[in-house]
Amino acid sequence: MSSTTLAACAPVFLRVRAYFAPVLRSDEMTVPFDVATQGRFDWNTPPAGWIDAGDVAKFTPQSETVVEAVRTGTPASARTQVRKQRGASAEFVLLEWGKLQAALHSGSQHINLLSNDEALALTDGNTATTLHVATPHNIIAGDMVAVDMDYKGETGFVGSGAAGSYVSDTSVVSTDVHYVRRVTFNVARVTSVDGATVQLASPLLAGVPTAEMKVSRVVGFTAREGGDFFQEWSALFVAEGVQGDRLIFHYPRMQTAESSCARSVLRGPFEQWQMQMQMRALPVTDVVDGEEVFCYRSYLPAPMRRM
Amino acid sequence: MQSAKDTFYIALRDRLAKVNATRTTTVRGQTRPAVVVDENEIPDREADQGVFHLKWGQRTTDRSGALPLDILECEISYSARGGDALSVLARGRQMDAMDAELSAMLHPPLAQKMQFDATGSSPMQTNIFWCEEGQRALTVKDDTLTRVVRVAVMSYREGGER
Repeated sequence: MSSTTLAACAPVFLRVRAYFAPVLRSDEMTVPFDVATQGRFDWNTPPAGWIDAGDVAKFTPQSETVVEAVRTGTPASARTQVRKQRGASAEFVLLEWGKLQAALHSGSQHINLLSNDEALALTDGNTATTLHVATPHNIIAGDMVAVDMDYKGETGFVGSGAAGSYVSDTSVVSTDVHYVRRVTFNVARVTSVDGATVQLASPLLAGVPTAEMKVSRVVGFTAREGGDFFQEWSALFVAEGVQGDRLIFHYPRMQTAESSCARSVLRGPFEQWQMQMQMRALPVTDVVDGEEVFCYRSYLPAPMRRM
Repeated sequence: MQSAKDTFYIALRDRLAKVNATRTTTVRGQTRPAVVVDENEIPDREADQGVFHLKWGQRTTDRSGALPLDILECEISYSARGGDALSVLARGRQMDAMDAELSAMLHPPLAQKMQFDATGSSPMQTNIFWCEEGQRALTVKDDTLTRVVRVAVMSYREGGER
């Protein structure tokens, strides 16, 4: 292996993948991400707490920071600069259509369409991927299920694992015992059923279900235009370079700002619909030095490149 | 550019051995995975069916970056034909199998560039990378199906390379 360094060419990326983690809304706490120790994580195995949302296209990070010169003296000269406005956003097109992607695109409450069946209680011995439900039941392999508490009239953020909604007025939802399961992100696909044992394709976002949680079958999802609630997620956009370099954009707090559907002709009469969106970053305080930060852009170079 | 060409050939050859170890050919008495570089072999080998033939073509260089980027077009062709009544009926399936094998061989679309000489090989400092271009054209002549796939192979030119 040569010990000489090579010129650091502008990175060439084949793809960008997005990962999201729920923000603990009550405390504005985010899932930590340490680039130094976690930056080279396996593409298909993100660090704990992060959910793989698949590849994205047309990823465009944008700075919303406005820098102005402070001019004094005669004639006026720029003596220093100030950041008059600070911010960041990112635009991208989601290439997968799943619960998380559709919910991000909606930006607001993302409704799980519950079947008319009675919600099933859980018995003992549950894990994040295996449920033991009360019998009789009619869950079959291939079903989607939502696992969460009955709504009991509480206010504040609701939804286990990630806040799916905010209840400010209990009188509006008080009669809907299924409300939390309608908005929860604690959902999964059923891969097999053996009596009272229901196997899930992926771990529930909230982990091992509590005894109070119940299971409802989900037949689809609905996104609504309107409402006051904003979902909030941490985001990682990872661009893998063809030379072994990696560019990582970490937004600790993001909310959806704009969304639309991009349609492109696939072939003949077939059109493909893709979700395109813009997310706006909200600030966090960097514990290193107390600065207000919106985005961390990290570059991990390829080996033996000039610095 | 020779290192990039050699690296691309070796990468495809080694990947074919993993994807389908039974697809082999005999070259100058040696049996090896069925990937051959036409400019390195005698011309009549182009008629081989069931073998991936690599033909190097047009070359361009982009000098706008920190290192020159050489882009070389490679035409990969492969044929399926019948030598008897049964083989003819299976041409489509053979072609389909080779299409899938090539897709697997081309992914991931990068490989560490190696320098090959009489003593062996040594890794260089960059990766070559490539992408398929256009459609996979199919021609039919008599009982022979031939697919042609165009791939652009890109390589940063390291110190000492030409």
